[in-house]
Amino acid sequence: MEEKLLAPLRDVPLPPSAVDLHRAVRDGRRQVRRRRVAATATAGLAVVAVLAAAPALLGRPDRPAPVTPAITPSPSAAPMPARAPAAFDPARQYADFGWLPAGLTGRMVATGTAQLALNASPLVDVASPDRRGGAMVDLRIVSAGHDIAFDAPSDFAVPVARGGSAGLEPAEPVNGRTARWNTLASDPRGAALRWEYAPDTWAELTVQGASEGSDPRALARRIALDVRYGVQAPVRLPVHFASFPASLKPMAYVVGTAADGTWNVDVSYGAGRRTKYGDWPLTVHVMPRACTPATTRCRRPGLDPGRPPRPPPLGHGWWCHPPGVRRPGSVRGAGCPRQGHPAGPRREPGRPLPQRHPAPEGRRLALTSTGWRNSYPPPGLRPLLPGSGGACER
Amino acid sequence: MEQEYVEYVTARLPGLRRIACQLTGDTHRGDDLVQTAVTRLYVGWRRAHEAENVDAYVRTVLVRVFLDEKRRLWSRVCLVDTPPEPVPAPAGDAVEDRDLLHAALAQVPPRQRAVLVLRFLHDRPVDEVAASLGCTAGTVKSQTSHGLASLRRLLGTAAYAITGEGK
Repeated sequence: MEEKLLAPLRDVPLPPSAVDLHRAVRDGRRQVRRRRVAATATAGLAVVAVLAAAPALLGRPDRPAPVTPAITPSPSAAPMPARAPAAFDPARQYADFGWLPAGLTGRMVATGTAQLALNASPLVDVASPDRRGGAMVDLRIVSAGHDIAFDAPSDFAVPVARGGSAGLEPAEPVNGRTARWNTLASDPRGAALRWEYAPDTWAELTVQGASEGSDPRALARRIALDVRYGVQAPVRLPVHFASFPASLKPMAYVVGTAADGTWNVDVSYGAGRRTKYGDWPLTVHVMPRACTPATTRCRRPGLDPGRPPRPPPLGHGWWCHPPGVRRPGSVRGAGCPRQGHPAGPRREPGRPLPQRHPAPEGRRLALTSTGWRNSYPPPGLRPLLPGSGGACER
Repeated sequence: MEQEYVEYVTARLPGLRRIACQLTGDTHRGDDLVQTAVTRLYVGWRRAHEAENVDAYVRTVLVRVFLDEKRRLWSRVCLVDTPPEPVPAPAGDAVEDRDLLHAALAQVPPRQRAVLVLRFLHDRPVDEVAASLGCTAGTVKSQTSHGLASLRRLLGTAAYAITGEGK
C-alpha cells in the first residue's frame, strides 16, 4: 500500500536538465588539484628542510653547466620590480604579457591576493588531441612570501617548493634576475622557466604544445623577457554589483575571453577567510545565456565542421549560476533555511495548493550591466525577479 | 577514466535527477543536488569505479549530499535576469495529487524522506538503504514506519483520496 501512497511521485515530469557535467568535471579537477597541492606542499617542506641541512649539495663541482638556449632576437627588457607586492589586488591585474606569438587570442586572467595567473591560448579545442593553432602559454606570478601553486603539479619533475629554485636546472638570467628551467614531464614540446622577478619572489612561465621546428625554451624565454610588471590594470568584468555589503571585498576573479566574444567569469568575494570548504563566502559564476549547461560546446565555437559557429553570445542577456547554488525557481522562502522559513504550509484537505513564498527579506545585491564591449549585456537589463530590481539573496 | 565517468553520469543522469527531485520536492534544488553529487563523484571516481555496485555508491553520494544540505551556504547566490519558464504540466487531478504529495513529503524529516524515496519510489532493498544512510536495517525499518506515519498525518484524509488504498 505504501508504494501506491507515493505512486503519483514515481514518474514526475522533469524539466530539461540544468546539471552541467562539464562544470562538474572542471570543479572536480579543481578539488583534486587542491588536494594534490596540499599534499605536495607538505612534501616540499620536507625537501626544504633537507636542503637547508645540506647546503653543500647545491654547490657540487660536478653540477651541470647552465644551459643557454637558442634565443630569438631579444626584446627590449621590461623593467623589473625592486620588490614584490605584499599582496595583489584581486580586482587588478598586476602583470601582463608583453610579447606573444601570433594567434594566441584567447585570454584567461585569474587573480587573487597571493597569485596571478595568465593564460594565452589559440582559439581551438584544447581538449582535442590533434589541436592546431599554436602553443599555449601560462604565466604564474606570486606576491611576496608565497609559493607558486601549480594547476597540475604532477606535470612537473620538480614540484612546488618555497622559492622554487632548489634542484632546478640553471638558466640564463631573465633581465638580470636568477632563473631556472623547470621540467614539463607531460609535454615534450613544452618548457617552464622560473625566475626571481623580485627578491625572494618568483614567477613562472610555461609553454605547452610548441609547434614542430620551434624551440619551446627559446619561446618561453622570449615571452618571459617581455613580461610587464606593476601594470595594475583593472580586471574587466561584464557585470558589477550596484550595491554591495561593505564587509565583502574582491578575493579572486577568473575572467576568460576569446576573440569570438565568448567569455566566462567567476568572481569571488569575502572578508579574507575562506569557508571550511575552501570556497570564498560569495562566488558568482557568470556566463552568457547562450552558454547553457546543455550546450557546453559553446565554449569552443566553430569546432564542428558541419555546424556553423555559434553566434557570439552578445545581446542575449546573461545568467549566473554559481556552483552549487539554488536555481531561480527556488529563490523563495521554502528554499531559504537561514531565513527561518518553513518548508511549506501544512496542507489541509480542501485548501488551495501551497503558494510559493515571496523572496525572503534578506540582504539583496543588485547586479547591473557595465555595458562591456558596448553591447553586452544589453542595456536595460531586466530584473532578476519580479519586483526585486535584479537581486540575489545572500 | 574521465571518459568512463562522463559516459556513466550521462547515462544515469535522468535517474539521479528524479531521486533528487523527489528528495527536495523542487527540480531546481534537485539539479543543484545532482550537480554537487556528480562533482563529488568525479573526485572519488576511482573509488566508485572499484565499488561492487556503482549505482548504489552513487545513490549513497546523492543521499548524503542531500542530508548535508543544511550545511550548504546560503550566501552562495543565484543571479538570473528572468525567472525560468515554468515547466508545462498536464492538467488534471494527477498534478494536484503530485503537488499535494510533494508538499507533504517535503515536511517529512530528511532521513525519513530519504528512506521513503529510496524504498518506495526506487524499490531499493532495506540493506542498501541502510548502507546509503550509514545505519542499520532496523533503523531503516523504523524510519520507514515513522516516515509513513508522518506522511499520513500530513496528508490527512486527502491521502486516501489519492489512491483509494491509503490503509
